[in-house]
This record gives sequence, C-alpha cells and structure tokens, in this order.
Amino acid sequence: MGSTGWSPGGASPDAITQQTTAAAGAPPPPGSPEVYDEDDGRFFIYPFDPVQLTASQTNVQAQIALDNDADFLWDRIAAVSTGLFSVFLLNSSLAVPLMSNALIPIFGENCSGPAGLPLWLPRPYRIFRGSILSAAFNDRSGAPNTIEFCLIGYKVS
Amino acid sequence: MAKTTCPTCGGRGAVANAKTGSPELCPNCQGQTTVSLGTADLPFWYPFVTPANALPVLLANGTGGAAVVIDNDSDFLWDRIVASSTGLFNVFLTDKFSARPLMPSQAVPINGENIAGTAQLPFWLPKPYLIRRTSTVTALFTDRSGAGNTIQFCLVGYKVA
Repeated sequence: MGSTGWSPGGASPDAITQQTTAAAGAPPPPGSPEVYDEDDGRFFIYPFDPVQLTASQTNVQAQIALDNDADFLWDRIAAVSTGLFSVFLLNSSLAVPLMSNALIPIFGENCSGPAGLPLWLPRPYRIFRGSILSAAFNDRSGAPNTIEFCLIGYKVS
Repeated sequence: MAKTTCPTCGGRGAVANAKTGSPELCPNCQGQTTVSLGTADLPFWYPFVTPANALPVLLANGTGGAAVVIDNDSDFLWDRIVASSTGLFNVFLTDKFSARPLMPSQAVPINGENIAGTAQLPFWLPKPYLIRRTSTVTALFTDRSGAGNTIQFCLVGYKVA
C-alpha cells in the first residue's frame, strides 16, 4: 500500500513525523504495546453470511455492515458455493451499484474465485467505515445452493 | 485515478520535522502534492446484453449481437475480460465510439478461449483501455458448439472520474 494508503485528512503532519521518527528509531521499550505500521492495514475478511438459496431462487438479499473502527481497503473477492449462482453487488451507503444492470447479475464464476485464485482488484477499493454493502443472490443450479461470498482486504485507518 | 491536494502537507510536498522544524518530504504524498482519493475508482462489471436487455442466447451455430453501453456518470477503464458460456463461441468486438474494431475481420472472429477467462484467471489487458462515458462497445457472438449457447461476456474494470 505504501504511501497511497494514508487516510486523507487522517493523521496530522506532526503525528506522521513522530511515527516516521519512531519507525526509524530504537525498538519500543519492553512492556509497551506492540507497534506496527497502521498504514499497512490489518488483513480482514467480510463474508456475506452463508446464503441459503432454494432451487432457482432469485433476488435473495444479503448485507455486510462494515465495522466502525476502520475503513476497508477491498482488494479480492472469494466465494464458494454448492452450485452455480449469480450476484448483483451494491454499495448501499453510496447507492452505487458495482454492476451495470440489476436485471443481468454477474455470474459467480465471472466475479469470484476460491481463495487460491480469487478475483483481484488491481486498484483496491476503499469502503468507508460503517458502510453497508448489499448483494442480491440468484441460484442458477436448479438445486439448493449455499453460498459464502467474501470480500477480502485490509482494515485501514 | 482521481486525485486531490494532499491534506497532510496542504499541497506543499513537504512537512516540518516535529523536533527540528526543518522541512522533510511529505510522507503522505512523497512530495507529489496530490494523493489518490481512493474511492473514485469503482470496480465495475459491464456484461454484454442484447437489445431485449438479456444475455445473448444463441441457437446452434447461430449468431447474435449484444452491446455494452457505458453509463454516463463515468468513463470506464477496462482492464479485464471474463466470460462464462454453456458452449464454445467466438466473438467480434467493436468500439463504436471510435468505430474501431478490436480485431481484424468479422469474417475471422476470435474464439472465446483466446480472449476471455473467468474471474479466477481473467484475460488481462496489460494496457487498460479507456472507454468514454455513454459510448458503446458491440459484440457479435457466434456459437461453435452446435447446440444452444448462453453467454455472459463481461468487460471488467473501473469507473473513473
């Protein structure tokens, strides 16, 4: 993430200077809290709670409410399911869809993979703390379908 | 990527050292004076749809047209192609904004497996392709499977300011 991961308007110049100075200086004294670069973010996974679809069920809504402690820098999508599915994603807090047409949800295989081969977002997408992300799932398998659809990335300050 | 004046240094590119007061390169923008907004580039999927607003469904060895119309709120920086289909197909793409085909001849369309992957292993455009807002990209699909074929062919990338 490097320098571009800084939260605009986040730390003051003085705080940044101190952080820089501390990073270049001696290790923290024993007993002090663990020091790590907040800017690097903390790995985090937000799953849509496993969604249970009946055969050919459509428009099953699920939501993720982002924690209030940090923004989320989203850079991967991973999903597993027991059958084929499609999904329509929406950043509800901004009322911004991530797909062009709610009538044409994107097939799961076109927007997600397993953890080993996820869909990467080469430009991570920053989602503000407290935001709500919505998804509408549709079964394409013609059989009951359990889907776990995960947004993977980093909590950043 | 959309940029804004660096809030840390106020666009000066440098900050004062807390102890000595001497100027140092701004650790936020690295002296560039601007930083990325980070929220402006929205990951986005544009599936090709038919005039009836549905996925292309081809008859055996049949042909069908579909299009992507870019929303008028943002240009689209296209960097990947993903597709899923029930059978083999080939495709001929044209950027209608520039009236420029993306392959040499409609008589020799490109096989789907040579132009698209899935989300796990998409076909990457090493140089992302900027498609202007409201412009159209058309596709002419042809079935190669000899059976009915439903195709979801998506341009994936970012809405950019």
